[in-house]
Amino acid sequence: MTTLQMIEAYRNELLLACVMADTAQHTSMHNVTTGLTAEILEQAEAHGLSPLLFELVTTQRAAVGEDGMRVLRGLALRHKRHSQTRADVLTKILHALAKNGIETLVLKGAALAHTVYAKTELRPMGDIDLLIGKRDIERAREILLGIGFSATNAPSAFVFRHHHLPALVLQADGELVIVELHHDALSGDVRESITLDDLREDPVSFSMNGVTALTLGHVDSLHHLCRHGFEPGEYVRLIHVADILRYANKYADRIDWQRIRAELPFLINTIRCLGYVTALPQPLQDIVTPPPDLRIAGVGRTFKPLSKVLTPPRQTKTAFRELFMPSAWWMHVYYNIAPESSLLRCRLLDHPAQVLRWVMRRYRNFFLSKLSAQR
Amino acid sequence: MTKQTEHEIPLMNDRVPRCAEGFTLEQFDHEILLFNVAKDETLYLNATAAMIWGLCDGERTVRQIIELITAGYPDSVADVEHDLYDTLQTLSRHGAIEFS
Repeated sequence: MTTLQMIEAYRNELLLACVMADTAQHTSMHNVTTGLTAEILEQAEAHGLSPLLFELVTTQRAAVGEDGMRVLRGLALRHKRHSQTRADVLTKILHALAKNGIETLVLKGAALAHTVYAKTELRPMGDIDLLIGKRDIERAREILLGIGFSATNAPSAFVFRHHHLPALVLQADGELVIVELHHDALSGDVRESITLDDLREDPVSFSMNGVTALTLGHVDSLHHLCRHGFEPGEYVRLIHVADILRYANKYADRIDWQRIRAELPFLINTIRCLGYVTALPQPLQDIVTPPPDLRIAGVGRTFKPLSKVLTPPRQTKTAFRELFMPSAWWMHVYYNIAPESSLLRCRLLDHPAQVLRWVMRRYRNFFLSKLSAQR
Repeated sequence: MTKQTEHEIPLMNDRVPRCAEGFTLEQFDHEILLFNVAKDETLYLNATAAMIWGLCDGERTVRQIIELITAGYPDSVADVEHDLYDTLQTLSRHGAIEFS
């Protein structure tokens, strides 16, 4: 699936309706007559929306055609099975880590499936992400290896000192389950961090398979989702848009918005800019001023990862454009610039300086990795 | 029925089909689906095909499965046999059953 096809999903009413489907904010689908074409199904799967799309068309009885429905049903069943397997494995991991006194927070999809979505299988996930204190992370890795996980190769030297250890993998019920142990929920490419030592709020608990698990508090969660969803990667997956809007919508009356305005104002701007993807749910419109009716270019596009931009063969002109002229929408979000404000200074100064920092960080890590290997 | 199928039928009768590993039968959204976890593949089955798959336990021969099913449909033995061979061949083609 090309980036262009992924961005086209941002114009598909069926896929956009999935973002808030099965919440009180859903869009009525009674008038939808779009068939489930192979392209829509591919886009739904690539954007992590297949289970939500299935839920949407079955609950609203949208006329989408039986051929597409048969494929979608298969995808939804597959995600349901994956979700059950991952939940079983996660329960096993949490038991093992707790038995050894290791504090663990469940991040991203593995937590959101329980805390945000009506049914766990509605939130697909590629892997299980866990946040663990830096002092415990190697011990946690050993414990996971002890319960049957296998180690994978270390990433490239450019990502030395990564915010998570190389993935651990386990075959369970015929599936490959991937686990990442993070000491920081955020990549080193952003200036902030979310570690067990600098959480803004106490973790919150949720119940899973009869065990109590912990995840980030509301402010940290929203912070994490907004940074993670807009990481370099060519486009923002619509499931990440759904995560942010559903989270903010569901916990609107429990989130400390005053603190967010004071300490993390870019979260407010991120939610505003998501108003260019889909209408903001009503509770959020009372908290965040809806975005002005402007034409913001590049909705859905992010910044291409440096590893792709700078890997030969690549035309200099293309690389330059990808490095220094990213999507306006992404720049508004990433650099916390209101949609009404000009991006000129950002394009000329802030973004080039940021690119330089990213490149320098990778080379510094590369040299540190080589030095570390020589010792 | 093709000549090849006619030739295959007697050969299959004494063979013992068994459900292949990795496949599970699921009732989902009012449909019966045979799901292959490892390959992420889904097969749609009707109620009869699901019953046939369930009878492939690695102990019964094809003939015994035919006898079990035709006992319930004494008036349409030929049709049932034909459907059963067809189903077994389809399941086998998708790797959902194996013969010993």
